[in-house]
Amino acid sequence: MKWIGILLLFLSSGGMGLYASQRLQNDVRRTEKLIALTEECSAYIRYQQPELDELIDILSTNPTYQEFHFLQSISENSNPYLMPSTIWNDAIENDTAVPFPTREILESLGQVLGTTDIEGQLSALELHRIQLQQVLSGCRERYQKQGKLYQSLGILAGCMLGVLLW
Amino acid sequence: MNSSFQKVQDYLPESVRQCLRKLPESVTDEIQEIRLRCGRPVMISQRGKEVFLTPSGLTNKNQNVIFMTSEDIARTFQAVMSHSVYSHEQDIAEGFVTIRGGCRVGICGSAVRNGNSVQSLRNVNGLNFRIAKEFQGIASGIWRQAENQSILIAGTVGSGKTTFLRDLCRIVGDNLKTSLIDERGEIASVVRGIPQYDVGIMTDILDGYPRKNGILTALRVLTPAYIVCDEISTEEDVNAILQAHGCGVKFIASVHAGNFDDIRKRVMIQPLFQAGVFQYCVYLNREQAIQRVQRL
Repeated sequence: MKWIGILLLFLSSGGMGLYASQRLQNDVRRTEKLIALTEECSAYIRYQQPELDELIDILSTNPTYQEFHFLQSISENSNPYLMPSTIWNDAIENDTAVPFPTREILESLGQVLGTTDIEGQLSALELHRIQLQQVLSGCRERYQKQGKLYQSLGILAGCMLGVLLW
Repeated sequence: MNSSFQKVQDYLPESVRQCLRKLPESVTDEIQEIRLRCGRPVMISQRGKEVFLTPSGLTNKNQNVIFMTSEDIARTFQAVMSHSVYSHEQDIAEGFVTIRGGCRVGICGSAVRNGNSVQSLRNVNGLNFRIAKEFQGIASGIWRQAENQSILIAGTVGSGKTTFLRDLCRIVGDNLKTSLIDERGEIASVVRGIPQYDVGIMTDILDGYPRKNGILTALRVLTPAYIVCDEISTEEDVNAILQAHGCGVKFIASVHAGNFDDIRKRVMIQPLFQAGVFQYCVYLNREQAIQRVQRL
């Protein structure tokens, strides 16, 4: 019984370490996807000039961005007379898949999307892409530094608890 | 209720929408234009007459009317642009946008100029919603009379040329291979590839193409029996029509004209008459009725 308890403590502690590390890895992966999203927006605006709601529809049906629910939410709540920036901000805030450090950047993007000519849109998207790129560098660094640390800490904490209880 | 009228309401400020919702269908069916002006009352064109919009209906008197603020105009302008200024740059420079449902919205503002041309608009101060209408069957009489001939539709502003052209396109497009050059997106009102109006089962729609390019593209790749286009207005349009006419394609087109005699006097379209492009001319008057049909 004691052995089972120690094993469970070890596993749960190690699992927590892995989970924390996984979250950091997810931030990296999701930020990469958000950068790809801004690049795709630029490409569509440059070559097809779809209206904003059409652009959001295209992106929300793209399997690459399926884990982000904000696109779907904006698409469902769009209304000609409602300012999209309001819907956009609410959708970002309610989407848990959006990495925390990128939220402010995405909200700022929502304020400028659709408000200027093509040149202005491309510049704004590029600016936000660069900002996301900086966040990505930070996320990668954090994952490299802290990811392994969390894993090790989890396993070590599990071992320590096991030793203490034994 | 006219579906275009319903779609237009989505773009209007709530105060205007509420008043319009109270109007009986018999009144809304007759509405041709809704005009919003900054700091001034909302006006409605109904059967060629201008009236004011009030919470209790339409009136001739400037009392208890609905006023538009600059914020109302700015928000409505953004809605008309579908919050996508980048995809309407050209439209803004030309002073109008076609919204879903095929309704054209005229925009008034201060011009941002680049040399002699208008590059953009700022300080938008007024918007004019023109309600598109679809009356199936209004052109069948003309088609019976002028079947397989080229037809020129002429009329004053607001005479219903586009509505007539749309029905004629539907009739022709149900029987013959037709190419519709819908430069302003008013005739078929294509939304994500699907026309919102019936323009015929055999009609290929070139949406948003400049007329000249559309005509030549249709000629090269679509082998149409008929080409339909709205409002011939430049020498380039005329030359493209002449080129297609030489290839045996028939045309249905519209042109602005103050009265029937004006049509023949318009220098710009003279080459079309000289080359015998059109065999019939239909003149529509301000009451949106066929005033005269002439074999040319």
